[in-house]
Amino acid sequence: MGEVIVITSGKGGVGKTTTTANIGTGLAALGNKVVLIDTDIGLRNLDVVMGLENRIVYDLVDVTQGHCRLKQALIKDKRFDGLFLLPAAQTKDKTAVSIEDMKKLCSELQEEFDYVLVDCPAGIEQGFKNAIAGAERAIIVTTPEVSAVRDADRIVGLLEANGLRGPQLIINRIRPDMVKRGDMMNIEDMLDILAIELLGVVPEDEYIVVSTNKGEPAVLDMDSRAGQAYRNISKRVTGEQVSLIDLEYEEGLVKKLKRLLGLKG
Amino acid sequence: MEPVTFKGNREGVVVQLNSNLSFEELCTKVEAKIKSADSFLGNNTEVIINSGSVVFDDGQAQKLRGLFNSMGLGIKKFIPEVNQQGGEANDMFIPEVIEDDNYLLAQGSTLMVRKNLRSGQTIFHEGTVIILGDVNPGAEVIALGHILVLGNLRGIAHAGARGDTRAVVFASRLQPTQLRIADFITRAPDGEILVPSEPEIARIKNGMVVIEKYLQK
Repeated sequence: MGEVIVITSGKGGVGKTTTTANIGTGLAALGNKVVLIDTDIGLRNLDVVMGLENRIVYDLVDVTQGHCRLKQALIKDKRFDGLFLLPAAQTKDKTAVSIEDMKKLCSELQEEFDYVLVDCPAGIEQGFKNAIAGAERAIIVTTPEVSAVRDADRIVGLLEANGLRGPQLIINRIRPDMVKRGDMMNIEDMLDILAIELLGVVPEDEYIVVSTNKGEPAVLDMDSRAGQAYRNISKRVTGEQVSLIDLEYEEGLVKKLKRLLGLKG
Repeated sequence: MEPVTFKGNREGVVVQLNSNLSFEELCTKVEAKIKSADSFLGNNTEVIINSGSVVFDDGQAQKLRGLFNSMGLGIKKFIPEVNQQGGEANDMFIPEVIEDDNYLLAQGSTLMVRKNLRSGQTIFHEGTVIILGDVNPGAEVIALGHILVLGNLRGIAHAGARGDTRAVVFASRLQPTQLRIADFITRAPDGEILVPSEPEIARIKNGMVVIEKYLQK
């Protein structure tokens, strides 16, 4: 019996979809059977980030409305046999799915997969309520900005009110240089306010933009700093103890040269 | 502490009774004290009885009224209010904060909250609220009495929300978005971020919200 994990944030644009794609791929790379559900009906993205857009035939709404069987709507990933995506519908809106539908869907998927990752839409309305309905564990993504932390705090409260206790936090897009100068909130500031367990810290990395556009999750790139962070986070999701990566890390000159010359260090 | 003391305030003469004595003892002390202060009080004065943490019942109140009447005095009211059997809960009693160090002990209905209040969460209570946890930005606590936060107060707190200017706001770390006591509203000055290093208490003094260190050295 697998675990249903919702990935949420309240605020938009902090990296929920990127995080879902990377943790999902990371878990699959570790040999788990994983399914990703995109619940952002009307604004679907996860398929694009995963590079699976052109394979969509049926979607989440088709499943809940009985137009197809669940198996038919699941898209198999190009890289891993154990990784599947259930895409959101693009032509409907959030009300096309009910809380009961989601509960039923999650419990069905849970039977077959080790991890069911639910990519939650921004906001706290119907879409959010649907996304958390079937979840038993929550990962909250925030960036080191006051507004994102404020929304994350609201989400922790709402999750608690819905019986989802002990959410874990991912701090995304942190810039160690700015934190050092005192221009960015540091990890302690955020943990002080949110008072929840830290699952991981992902440094700002240009490669994320490249990987998103290519539809290749960064977690598979051995040179990407963010990818390394997501690999560690994936391991922590499975319960393994992995220490935080050193954010102060600077690329050595030799390694840099090698990279410029096209040699992998 | 004297068994019986007289004090004057805005509302009139307050007779402060030592709550450690028994009711009978108090009655005799009151009688003696009033006799000795005969001229000072004058005739037909209506006094306020403040019995601290002791709440008199109906019978005791009647006895006291009789005692005062027999000496040409009246009783305007009791603080805390007399406990009427079967009656509704009384209005909350907030003693004079500045004069009485026992003010945290001597109150009516208190709500204790053991969790962090997060953005979007609100608490309203018709008495004093004690929060064992943080009040985060975006959260709101509204109380008709005091607000005590044993943690960080970063959100909005409104004490004495129905206009009681004696209400206070206490926090281990008092850094609210906005602080309201009765009809007074304050906020931190723009641009300045002060992180308090020790517990502080906010209250109204001379028509202004004043924040002081809680532990006076």
